[in-house]
Amino acid sequence: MLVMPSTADAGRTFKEIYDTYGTVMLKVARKIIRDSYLAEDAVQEALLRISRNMDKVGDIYSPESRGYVLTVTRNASLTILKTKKGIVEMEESLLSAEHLPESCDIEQDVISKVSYEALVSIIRGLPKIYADVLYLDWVMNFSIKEISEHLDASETTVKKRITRGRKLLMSRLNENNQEGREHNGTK
Amino acid sequence: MEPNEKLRSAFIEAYNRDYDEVDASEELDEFSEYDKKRGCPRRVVTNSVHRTCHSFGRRTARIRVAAIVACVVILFCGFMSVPAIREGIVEFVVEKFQEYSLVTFHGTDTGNVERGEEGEKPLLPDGYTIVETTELPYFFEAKIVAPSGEEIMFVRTADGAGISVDTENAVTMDLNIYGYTCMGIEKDGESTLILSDEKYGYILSSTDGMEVIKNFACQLFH
Repeated sequence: MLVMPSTADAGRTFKEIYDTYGTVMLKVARKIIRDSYLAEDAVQEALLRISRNMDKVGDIYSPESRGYVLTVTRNASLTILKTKKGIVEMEESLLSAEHLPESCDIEQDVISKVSYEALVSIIRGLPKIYADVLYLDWVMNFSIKEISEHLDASETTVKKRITRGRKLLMSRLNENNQEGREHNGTK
Repeated sequence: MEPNEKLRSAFIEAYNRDYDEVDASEELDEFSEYDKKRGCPRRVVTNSVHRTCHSFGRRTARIRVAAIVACVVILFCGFMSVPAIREGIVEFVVEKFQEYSLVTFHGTDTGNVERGEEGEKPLLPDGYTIVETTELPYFFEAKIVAPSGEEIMFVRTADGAGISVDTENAVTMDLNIYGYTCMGIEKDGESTLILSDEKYGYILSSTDGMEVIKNFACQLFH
């Protein structure tokens, strides 16, 4: 295992993350966990998970880092909530209503036909259980192992969510393109 | 297939809009008075990095317990007589709350013993090997392999650090190793020992049994 960067630098970055994002992290946690004390625990848990990946955070003020902090906080909150409400059940029920394509490949030509705003809207509409793993994979370039540590889930579960997330994204992209063609009177 | 830049950029934009929505919301944005009284998360986190007690599998541990079953066991490491209880320069304090407990290491001011340095490498007993190290603010962490192959997670800290330990349905015990008071925790096959000496606070954990870390601690302090 690599030795961490200099202690002083890691400490400074950690403090910067807390000072910059602590308030929003607490808001995110409180939206998920109504218990304020548990929400504070979730924020601390999220900070611990972030602290284990300081070397990958890079510029903590970058747009990527904002999304990363949000993702980690949300999942730390869900980890705590999981012990209370069995939230794992949601994953299967979400997929049952969708007709998903066989392939989980992200087809570039499909993406090219979607407007940027529509793409952002589709991503925001994805269930976070899938969007978060895709964010950690595609934006933060984390390994499966690192993602599983962030989400407190097994590597098998992470791989499943990535596959399902890709399929769901493609399904909605195709729907969007289909609606666009119908709107324009094309087939 | 890897996402293209448009997709990646859209993900970042989507998450930043979510972030902005949350930031603009009117949810309470201050930590509770309860948390401030306990030492405030800001101080605990920024001054001392609130670490979790974990084994080499890095399982995060939090306490969610209303009642802790504790039994007191006195351990004698090969001595017939009981050594005098020594007051370490670094002491650990256990604060038990309804939701969880916090173990905090505090330095006492005796002025007689040189305080430990965070970067100082530990002197291990013969046969024990460090295989991985991590240095974070206020903590030195290492995975150690015992002569017989068991793995021990070794965490050492100086003054001002705190950890939270999951003791829900756990067995906790007070121990004494060569005059140093320790706290032992057993839960779900994971054993943890919290102790301090004149210079540092220590958190030792292993999934290979409490005897493994007791033996290590005995040799460490012998």
